[in-house]
Amino acid sequence: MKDGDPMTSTPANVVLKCLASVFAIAGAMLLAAAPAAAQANADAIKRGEYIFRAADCSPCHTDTKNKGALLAGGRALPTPFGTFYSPNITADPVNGIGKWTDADFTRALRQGVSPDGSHYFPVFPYTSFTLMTDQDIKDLKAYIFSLPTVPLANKPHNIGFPFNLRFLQIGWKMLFFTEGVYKPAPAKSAEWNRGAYLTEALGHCAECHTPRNLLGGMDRSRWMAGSIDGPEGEMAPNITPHEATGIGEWDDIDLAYMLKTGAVPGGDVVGSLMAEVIRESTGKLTDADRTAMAKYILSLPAIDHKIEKPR
Amino acid sequence: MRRSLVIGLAMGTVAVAMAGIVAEAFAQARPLDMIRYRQSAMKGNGGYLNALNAYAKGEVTLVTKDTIKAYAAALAGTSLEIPGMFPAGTDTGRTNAKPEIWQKNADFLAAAKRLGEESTKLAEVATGGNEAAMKEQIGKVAQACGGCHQPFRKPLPPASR
Ligand code: HEC
Ligand code: HEC
Ligand code: HEC
Repeated sequence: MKDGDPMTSTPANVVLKCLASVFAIAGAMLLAAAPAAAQANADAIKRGEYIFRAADCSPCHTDTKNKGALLAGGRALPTPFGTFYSPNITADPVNGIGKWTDADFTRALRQGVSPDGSHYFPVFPYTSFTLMTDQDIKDLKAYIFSLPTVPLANKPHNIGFPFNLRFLQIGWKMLFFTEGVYKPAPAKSAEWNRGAYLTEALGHCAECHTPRNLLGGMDRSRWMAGSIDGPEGEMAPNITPHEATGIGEWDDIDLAYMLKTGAVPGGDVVGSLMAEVIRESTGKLTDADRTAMAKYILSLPAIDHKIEKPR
Repeated sequence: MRRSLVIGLAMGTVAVAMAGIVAEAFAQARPLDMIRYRQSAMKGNGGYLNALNAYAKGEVTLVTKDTIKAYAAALAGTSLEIPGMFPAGTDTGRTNAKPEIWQKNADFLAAAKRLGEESTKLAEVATGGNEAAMKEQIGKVAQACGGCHQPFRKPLPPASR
């Protein structure tokens, strides 16, 4: 359209022109905002990666033994109730969680409830993740959604009646689950609270190191005091600072070093599921965070609980 | 002449068969001895590693780069022996060896090789004498131990450590 064109002065045309300039301005604003948003997202992904490590999401959701793709699920998790198969949690829209909103993801970790309202089994340690902050959960999702998607369908769990009835999980939750974000203890130092958050909310160490009752609930009176039949039927030692039956002889340097390398004070090096925790999680954290965890764990009540299996 | 040849052949066959039986008996007799041997060798590894750890954690300052080199060489040495320490038939009894050692033997051998590589690297780093690098590499050696214990060994009760 040229100047002097008879069309230029019609009211419709004025409106069109105004709209055009509004779009142009909005467009320019969007263009300016895009790098800032991209930067914010990149920061979230970066923070999320650290949370992902600290919370050790990858081993359960990756079928490493059969060379499965990262987070594509299918890892067999044998328990006394039967064998669970972890789901695909890549952002694949059909087989994974690609269609989930932030709220869906938060509800799964905080409450153990799926987007369709059904209840998860506690092999998914939402019982610990419930303690995570909203921000950490959001960042974690941003990171998971930045990873390659894998179109692998989920495998159904192989668990016996009546444990396969999901609605029974409502009862289980009433007995054994307390929902809610970690509340820092005001009387304790920032380092202690950081250690508690890393250990309880993210590292979910208690899920393996606390004995469970017949219904699979954690025995709160023996928190971290070891389990003779931990995950995959393996024993997990007492890691309370009890002198004779726990790690009472260790100091925070010993424990932080073990969380980095796997080496325990007697000269041995842990294997089994703990080696995986170290490789995928604690070995990748900062020294300061490992030290905070060590100090927190060594401040727990010492519980006399001997874990021994005849050789 | 012919007769003696036949007898000779027969005796030879018997001898070969007997030797076979003896060899078989030797390999299979007392798997417990082999289990004990490898557990002692592993305890030795634990001793060297633990001395190195004490240095890496800063608990002692006594250790020199020459001791570090010697310990690293000892660990590299046993790493070469590990494959022979797990012959077939030593998977039961007083052992914490997992059956995966024999089922996924190539992975097991690769884990032994990795210990050889990381400890050889430690010996090299120790020649340079850079303290931070030595400490870092000691951690890598420990991770090589754990890299094999994870798939191939049952957890040990702390009391037996
Ligand atoms: C101990 C093993 C384990 C760990 C650790 C674990 N998960 Fe899971 N997760 C599971 C299992 C098993 C299920 C399936 C539960 C069910 O079917 O009720 C599951 C379910 C889920 C679901 C629901 C998927 C769906 O399709 O409904 C999400 C999302 C999830 N996990 C994310 C995570 C994240 C994020 C982490 C780390 C913070 C994590 N998981 C750590 C075992 C684990
Ligand atoms: C998936 C289960 C699992 C989780 C999660 C787990 N552990 Fe372990 N842990 C084990 C097992 C199994 C062993 C025994 C390993 C062995 O002896 O080879 C172990 C061993 C240990 C030991 C050595 C104790 C000793 O006396 O030798 C310590 C310390 C420890 N874990 C601390 C932790 C901490 C801290 C966390 C959380 C960051 C954690 N664990 C999370 C299963 C687990
Ligand atoms: C290639 C595999 C492999 C590597 C590498 C390895 N180990 Fe082992 N280790 C084993 C197996 C398997 C056992 C169980 C042996 C048995 O009980 O028969 C074991 C047992 C042990 C034991 C317990 C011995 C006992 O009293 O029963 C110690 C301690 C030990 N290893 C330390 C180490 C250290 C330290 C390193 C690294 C310097 C190391 N291991 C490297 C496979 C390995």
